[in-house]
Amino acid sequence: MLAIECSNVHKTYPHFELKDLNLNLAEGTVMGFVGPNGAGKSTTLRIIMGLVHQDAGSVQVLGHDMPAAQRAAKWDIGFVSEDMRLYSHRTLGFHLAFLQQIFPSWDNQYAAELLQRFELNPEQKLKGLSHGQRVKAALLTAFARKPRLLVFDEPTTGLDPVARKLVVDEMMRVMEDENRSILFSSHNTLDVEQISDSITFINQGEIVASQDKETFLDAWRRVRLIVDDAFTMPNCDSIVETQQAGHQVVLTVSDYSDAFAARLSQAGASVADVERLTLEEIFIASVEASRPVQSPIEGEAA
Amino acid sequence: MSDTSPTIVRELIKKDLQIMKVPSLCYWLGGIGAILLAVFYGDAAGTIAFILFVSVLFGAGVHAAMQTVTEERREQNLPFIMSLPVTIRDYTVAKVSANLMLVGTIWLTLSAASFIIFIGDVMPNGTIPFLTIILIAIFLAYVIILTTTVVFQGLAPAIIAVVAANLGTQAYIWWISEFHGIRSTVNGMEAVWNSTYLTVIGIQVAAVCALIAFTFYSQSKKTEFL
Repeated sequence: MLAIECSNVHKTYPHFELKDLNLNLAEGTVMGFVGPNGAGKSTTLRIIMGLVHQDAGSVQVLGHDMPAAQRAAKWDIGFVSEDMRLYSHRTLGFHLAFLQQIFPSWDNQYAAELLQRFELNPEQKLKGLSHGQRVKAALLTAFARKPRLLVFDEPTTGLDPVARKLVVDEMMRVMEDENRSILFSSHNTLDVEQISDSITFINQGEIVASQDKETFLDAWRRVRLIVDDAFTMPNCDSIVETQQAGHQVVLTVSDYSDAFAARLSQAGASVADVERLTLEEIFIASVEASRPVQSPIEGEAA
Repeated sequence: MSDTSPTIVRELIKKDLQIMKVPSLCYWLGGIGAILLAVFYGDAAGTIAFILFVSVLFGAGVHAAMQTVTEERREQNLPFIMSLPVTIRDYTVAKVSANLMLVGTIWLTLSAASFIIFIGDVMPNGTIPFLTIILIAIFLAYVIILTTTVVFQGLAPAIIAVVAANLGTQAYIWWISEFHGIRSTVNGMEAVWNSTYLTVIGIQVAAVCALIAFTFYSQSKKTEFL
C-alpha cells in the first residue's frame, strides 16, 4: 500500500511552476526528498498536507484525497516544517497539554522519554530555547502523536551535529514500526543517505530522479580513463559529465555496468579507476544533468 | 469539507482564550475604571471617562484580532495549527468564535454597565438609543478589523483596517448625530426609539452579519493557507 501517491500534480505561481509531479511513497518506508533551494520541495510537501491546493493532478495520502479529505488524513500525519514555530510566549508543556487534548493517539510516556532524550524542559517558554531546542520541541510534538506518516520539511537544518544525530536516530527508531512512513526533505545528503529507503531529487519544479537508495548508489560511478589521441568517446546516455585533462578523462556515469567498461576498452580507453559516488555527488550531478544545455551566446543573452 | 470538527475547534478556541486571558481582563478592568470615573467624578470627568471607555472597547478588539490572527501568522505559528486535523473552515470558525467570545464578553458587560451607570446621573435617558448606536458602531469597527485580519492575514492590512475603522467610526458617529431623528431626541429626558434609530441599528447589525459571512466566503475560496 502507498502512504503517498501524487499523480501528475501541477501548481503554477507567477515565478515558479511545479510540473507534472509523480511521487509514490510505499508504506513502511522512508523517502528523502532532496533538491536545491527553490526547487519545489516545500510546495510539494504543503500540497501533500493539503495546505496548498494543486491546480491539477491528484494527491492521495493514507488513502485520503487531498486537499478535500485533509482533516481525516491529518489525524495520522505528523508535520514539521523549517518555518514552523511553536508559541514563543508559552511553555513546551502548554503545547504538549494542548496536543494531548486533541490526539487520542498521544503517548504521554513516549513524550516524557523524548523530553529526556532531547534534553528539553517542559516548564521553559519557547522564546528561551535555542534554535536547535525549538526544532527538537517541534519534532517532539509530531513524534508523540504516533502518526502513521511523518512529513518533515528540512527537519535537521540549522541543527548542530549532536542534535542532528538525535533527530535522525529518533526517525530510525520510529521506523521500527513497519506500518509507519516518513517523507522528509533535506539539504543534508548525509542524513538522507543514512536513513532513506528511497530518494527523490527535485530541481526547478521537476522530479529529476526517484529510485531506491541502493539502486542510486550502485548505479552511479566515477570512471577514470587513460586515453590516447585517437580515442573517441562512445555515444552513451548514461555519461552525465565528462572532464578531460590531456590523456586523462573522468566520466560521471549514471548507469555503470561491466558492459559499459567493456565498450570503453573497445574504444581504446584504459580504465584506470572506478569509484562509487556519495549521494551528494549523485545529487549534484543529477541536478547539473537536468539543467538545459545553453550555448555561450544564449548564456550571454540571458 | 463542509462540516467542522467540534473537538478541535473547541480546543483551538480554548487556546486563544487562554492566550488572551490576561489582556482581556486588563481591558475589562480598564472599562470598569472608566465607568467608575464617571460615577465618582460626575460631569467633571464625564467626557474623559467616556473617551477612556470607548478606547478600552476599541483597544480590546484590536488587541484580540492582532494577537490571535496577525501575530500567529507573523510568529509562524500557523503551520503548527494547520498541521492539526483541521480545514481552513475549522480554523476560521475557531478564530471568529474565539474573537467574538473574547471581545463580545467585554463589549456586552461593559455596555450593560455603561447603560446602568452613565444613563440617569451622568447623561439623560434620551441618549440611550444614541449610546446603543455608538456601542454597536464600535463593535462593527471591531468586526471590520477582525474580518481584515482573518482574510488578509498580513500586518499591513491589519494596520490599515485599524486606522480606517478608528477614523471611520468617529466620522460615522459625527455624521449620524446630525440626522434630524437623532439630533431632536438625544438630549431629551425620555428615550425615543424612532425609525431613524431603528434603521441605523438595523443597518449596523446587518453589516456585522455580512462581514462575518464575507469572512467565511473569502476563506472558502482560498487555495493556499501558509
